[in-house]
Amino acid sequence: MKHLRWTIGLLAIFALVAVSCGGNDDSGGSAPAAAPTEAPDDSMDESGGTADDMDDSMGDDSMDDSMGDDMDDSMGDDSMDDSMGDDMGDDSMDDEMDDSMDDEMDESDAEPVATEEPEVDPCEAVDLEATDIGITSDTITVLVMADVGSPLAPGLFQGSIDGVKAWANQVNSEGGLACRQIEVLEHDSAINPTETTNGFLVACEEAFALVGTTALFALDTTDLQSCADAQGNEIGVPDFAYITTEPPHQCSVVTFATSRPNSECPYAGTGDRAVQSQVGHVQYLLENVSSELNGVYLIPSDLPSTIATSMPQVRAFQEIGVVIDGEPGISGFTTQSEYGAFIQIMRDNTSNFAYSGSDDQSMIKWRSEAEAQGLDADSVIWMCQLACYTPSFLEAGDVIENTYIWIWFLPFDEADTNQELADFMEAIDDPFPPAWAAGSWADGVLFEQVVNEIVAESGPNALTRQAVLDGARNLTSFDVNGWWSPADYSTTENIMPCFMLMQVQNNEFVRVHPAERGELDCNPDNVVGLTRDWGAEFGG
Amino acid sequence: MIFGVRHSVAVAAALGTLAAVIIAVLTWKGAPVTSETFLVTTYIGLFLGALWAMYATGLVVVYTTTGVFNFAQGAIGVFAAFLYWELHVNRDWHSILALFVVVGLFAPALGVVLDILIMRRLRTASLVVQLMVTVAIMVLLLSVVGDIWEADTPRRVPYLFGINNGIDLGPSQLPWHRLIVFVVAIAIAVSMRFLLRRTRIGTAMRAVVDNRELAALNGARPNVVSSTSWALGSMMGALGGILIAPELGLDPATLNNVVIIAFAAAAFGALRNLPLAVVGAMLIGLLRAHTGAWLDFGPDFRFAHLSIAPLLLLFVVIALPQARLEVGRLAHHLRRHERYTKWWEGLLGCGVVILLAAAFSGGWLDFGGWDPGAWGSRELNSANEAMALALIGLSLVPLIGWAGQINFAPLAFAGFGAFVYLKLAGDTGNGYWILMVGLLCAPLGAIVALPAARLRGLYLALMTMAFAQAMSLIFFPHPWVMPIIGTGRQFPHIDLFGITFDDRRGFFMLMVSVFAIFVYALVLLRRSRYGRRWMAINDSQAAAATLGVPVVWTKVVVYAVSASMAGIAGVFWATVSGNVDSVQGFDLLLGFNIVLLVAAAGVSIPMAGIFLIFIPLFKGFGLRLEDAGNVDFLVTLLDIMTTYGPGLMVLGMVFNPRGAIFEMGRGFSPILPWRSDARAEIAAENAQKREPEIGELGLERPFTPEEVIAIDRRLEILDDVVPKEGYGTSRS
Amino acid sequence: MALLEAEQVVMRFGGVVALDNASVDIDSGEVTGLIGPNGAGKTTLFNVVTGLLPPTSGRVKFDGHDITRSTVAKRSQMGIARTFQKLEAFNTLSAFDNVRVAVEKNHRAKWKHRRVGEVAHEMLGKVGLDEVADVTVGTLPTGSARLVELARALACRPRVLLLDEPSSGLNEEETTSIGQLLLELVADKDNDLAVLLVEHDMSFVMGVCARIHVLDFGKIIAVGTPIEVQADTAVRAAYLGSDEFRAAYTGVDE
Repeated sequence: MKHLRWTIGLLAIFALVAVSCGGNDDSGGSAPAAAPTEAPDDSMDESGGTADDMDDSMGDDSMDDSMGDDMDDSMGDDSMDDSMGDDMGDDSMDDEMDDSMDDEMDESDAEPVATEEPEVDPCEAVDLEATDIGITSDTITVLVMADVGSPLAPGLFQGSIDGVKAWANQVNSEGGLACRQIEVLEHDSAINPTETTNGFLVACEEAFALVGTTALFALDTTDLQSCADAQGNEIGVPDFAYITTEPPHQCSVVTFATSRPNSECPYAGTGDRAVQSQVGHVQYLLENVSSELNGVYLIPSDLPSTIATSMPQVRAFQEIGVVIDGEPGISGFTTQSEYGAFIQIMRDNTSNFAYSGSDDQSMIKWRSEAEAQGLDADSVIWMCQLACYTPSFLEAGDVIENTYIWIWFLPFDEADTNQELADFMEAIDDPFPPAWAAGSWADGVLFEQVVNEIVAESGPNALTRQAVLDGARNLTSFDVNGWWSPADYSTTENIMPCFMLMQVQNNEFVRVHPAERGELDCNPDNVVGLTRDWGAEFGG
Repeated sequence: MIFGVRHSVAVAAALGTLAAVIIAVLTWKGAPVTSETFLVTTYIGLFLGALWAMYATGLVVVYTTTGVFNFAQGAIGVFAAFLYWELHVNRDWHSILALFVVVGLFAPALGVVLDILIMRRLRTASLVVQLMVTVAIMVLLLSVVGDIWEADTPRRVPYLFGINNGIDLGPSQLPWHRLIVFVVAIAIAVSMRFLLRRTRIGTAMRAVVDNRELAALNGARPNVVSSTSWALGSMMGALGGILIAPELGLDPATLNNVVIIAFAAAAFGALRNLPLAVVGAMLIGLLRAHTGAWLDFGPDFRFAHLSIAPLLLLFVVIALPQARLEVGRLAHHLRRHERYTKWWEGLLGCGVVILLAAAFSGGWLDFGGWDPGAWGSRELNSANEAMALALIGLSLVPLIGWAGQINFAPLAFAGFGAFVYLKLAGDTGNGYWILMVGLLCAPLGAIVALPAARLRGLYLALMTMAFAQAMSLIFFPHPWVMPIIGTGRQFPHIDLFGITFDDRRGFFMLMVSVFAIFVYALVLLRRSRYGRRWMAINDSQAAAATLGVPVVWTKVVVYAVSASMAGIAGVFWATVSGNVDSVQGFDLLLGFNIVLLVAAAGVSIPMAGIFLIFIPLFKGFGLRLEDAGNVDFLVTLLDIMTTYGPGLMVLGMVFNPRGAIFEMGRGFSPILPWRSDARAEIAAENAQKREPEIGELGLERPFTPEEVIAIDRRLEILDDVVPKEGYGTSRS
Repeated sequence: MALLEAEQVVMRFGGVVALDNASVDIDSGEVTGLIGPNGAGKTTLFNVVTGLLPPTSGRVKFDGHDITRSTVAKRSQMGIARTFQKLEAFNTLSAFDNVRVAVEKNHRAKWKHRRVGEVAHEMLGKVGLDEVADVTVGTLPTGSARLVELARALACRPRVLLLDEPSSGLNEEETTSIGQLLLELVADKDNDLAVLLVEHDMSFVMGVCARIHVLDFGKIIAVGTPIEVQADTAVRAAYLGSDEFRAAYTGVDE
């Protein structure tokens, strides 16, 4: 009797499933869209006659393969240049580019309403079409995904969303992009892999591209890379991200990050991986501050991905002659008093170098504890990275004095040296915005540049995901109009050679190197590439 | 007693020390051991210990005097620390004033409010309800903190007297802040010990927990006493939170997790012995500081030093003297007939589940103007995750709902299932291995049950929590367990009956059908002798044992069944996201939330488990509505429900201990045409309500003076190490 | 030789001596009483005999075997069953299922594979609870729940039955019928049953018990027939001032 019950039950359940699964087709990724028409190439020719004079723009220099020290000067010059058009030229690393968009932007800069110009408007010459998902005749929809709404940490990367919206507003106020207005959709990835995947799915169905992605848990990018375009080709959604922490995101073929991970792709997740690390700042210290450096590097060890980004840098420091006395791991659960152990290592080895691969709060704890333990802070070079470039770091007061910080873009207080930075600071309306706001803005600019090149080449109706992907993959140098270290998107050996070094002096971030405002140090030797099994390198 | 002759403790201590020595030898970092380093490390350890001792003292005081173990102790600390930050840092109040307002006014008020609104009503509730309610308070407090103080900016709470003023100790110095924390922690512990053991009010406080009526006869006012206890406990939590915040930074989850260390310390003192709890806290502090200084666990065990507290908790709880069999609590309801769910009713329910899921997700139901239509891939993706969690939740139905065995480690079981599947099926996605997973997870459940079988409810809860924490710190982050992959899916799409479930709708329906099978299996299990026995040991282990029911074996079986279900659910859970985040994926809070949901559902009847299907259904429905964008208030409502819902529902258990779903079911069943019995019962109930209740003879009989004297004598002199039953059983 | 013997049992809780060299022996075929003031240690003795508490020292013998170290379940299989003073019925189960749990555990060894339901109904019938068989015990009146416990204990087919205040919560009529049932059970030679009864209702105790042990502060202060015990001065002293005892005592005196 009992067996009978079980059998009947199971059979019935399977029968029901079979019935309810009848229409089993996936409804995802099949958003209907108007059949895209090939953009008529000749439409551009009509409007392309008024090409800006590109010869004296900095495009040439940026293209220069030998990005030597002269880079600094050239970039400085460029940034000081008043002309908007030149900035745009710098954007588009293409010599032959017939840049009508630039022209249009130029005019809109002078006159808010571009359409009032009696000149031939490239946008009026064509009937704008819905060329792909997320594009209509008058809008381009982009999606910004960021970790914002975790129940325990709401508001985390809100800055990314603000950054993208500010960028979109600015582009729209200047006449839009590809003759269309940008609409921004938001998605909260909530520090959660499922919500992150959801973001990819929403982008696939409703947006043309992802811009400003700041999601820590992009563990599975299959949906991102296999998303079908309006024609049903599974080519993926272009993803212009700020950070890519997880290997599947780093190695996604449709993802273009403005903070390049400099890590080899494809990558199996374990085993050896070639990674290039910035060491220019420590090289500078070795040459100018102390010829011998020995000390402690703190590895943020909560996540495998943070270990994987810190370890290459430690080894690269060793490569250029720094002696590492200890490389302890720290987690969010490490109390300040437990930093006493690291200070003890420094004492035992009379260290003169202390580098934190973690964030501002960690550096504050470390330095506070050093002070509490009576360590002579002046005998040590304290150093931190972008994560310490925050207002809350300064709030710690005297205790963080003299800490060195390196970043790969011009600091926020040098808006007078770079037009893009000035625009950003004005649009974001925050005297000290979070770095991810800048990063997401940079993503916007990257997207804008790729789109502009397509439009310039083949007209506003050539804009498809495929075109954007192709454009981005062929981009050999992008430097956010001179604001950021240039990055090469055409190769898997991603190099971001530039940096600038600051120091906290009298509770302010003060530029140390290069001495000239508006400059980055772009010596190619700044980057050291090493191949190891980075997970196994970590001692714990 | 604890350090006395007890063999189990001696053996446990010896084994623990041996294990510690072996680990130390294996992981020795090789740093030079200087007396200076040793001294500094020791001082760090003692200071950390003092911080945790403060939390532990609050826990012990509340437990000794009210009988409730407060899982929300850490969350109270979190709330207080944020409030202190708001007043002192954000509004520039003087630190002493802010400290006074938070610790002196706010914290006791919070404690008293909690006591009056909630805790007092829990007095007669079962242990499961008591625990769940404090966990719910924890989750709610943390959500409120997150809502008020958004995480968009990092916050720091400054040290009370600055960090760089202090006593010079040669090469290093001892800051005042730390000295004061140390002194205050010890002073609080000593004064609480004195209060409880040497003063009249203290005696009254301890007496109240054992017998309110009796204590009341002796002049104690139970309500005043319990409010005082909660106020004191809350103050200690608040002070602990404010003092530890400068050390850790203001992050709700991080700060809240500190409380696990305090749990371990309190358990070290058998939850009632203050001096031992303080010793335990110091021990953990010293161990943690010294492992940090001398040992090197390597990348694979990078969280090992953080897992000292959960491991110690596990160890202490297992080594504790064997608990006597529990005595059940009386519950009085109106007369109710027990009725088994018939097997065909179970089948019908499963059918309804499947059709409902298909209808919701397929957009077959018409909701008029609100109709959100068929689910897209995003809705399905979220619903799939919720569905997998519902499956995991279902595994708790026999364990918590029937056998009354609290288990905070459902995710650990699920994760283990995913791990086993990963090793068995590799990248083939062969679904038949799932059955094997079910078989292999059962022994894990049995292993957990063996120590659990001899533990009382609270220790059991603590043990499973420690187990979950230890698994998430040591086991899952190991790269061999959940290898990181560079691309694609770690868990491939499941391949079953020749179908690859690679589209989300198909996978959703696959999980729905597994859910239905689980529910049906539960219906049948509940009707079996095992189901009866599980419920019997929940009601009274002592009675079950005297009837010859092998209590240990019965528990082992129910744990094995639950682990097996959770393991299978874990495979689906892992497959939903494709890649399991080995660090965040097993977060303790997520586990708490699952348990809360199950407890809130009050799943003591198998069909109530069906309720869990509504979680994924509402999730998908809500997202779909959001996309449709036409009913904002509903979306907001669903949003609030998902954030605060489980917590609020569990708070509802204060008034309705059998859970919301149980009562809903009672309202629903008379509608079913064949349930004339339910209709009759309701009718009888209504008739009965109109008659005045007749007080029951015997139990309401007042105590005679002799009884009072005899028990009073015991209360005055009994050592509080003696388990509670000692009083009850010696009074015949 | 007595069927069940507790010899020199000492039970300490911390500093409190709950049982102080208490010795009790009971024989089959009769009801033995165990009385004493509250807190005298009666329930503790029950717990020691059934194995719920390990004694500090002393021995428990059943049918000549030393069972001091046996588990609760083992003792149950040997034939020791009990009820509880503080109700320990399975509140969420029906009365029928309460008994069923006991029958299922014992039906192979003791009920010769009779159908579980049949035995359970028979036991419920013995205590007069047929009508509430499917009522959840938690919703029954206390007195009925005690009867469920009794039926459950009987379902184990015990040789020694320990009853802890079975009459509390019952009315006079029900108490009488329980007394009658106990006498019938022990009288039936097939059952080979010994009953140890803890009771506050003195007329009940005096009515059914063949012998009575008196426990005070953990010590056995008197053993004998009801008449002997009533005459004992030590017992009188122990109960001095107890209204309850005086009332019962005078009642029996007449």
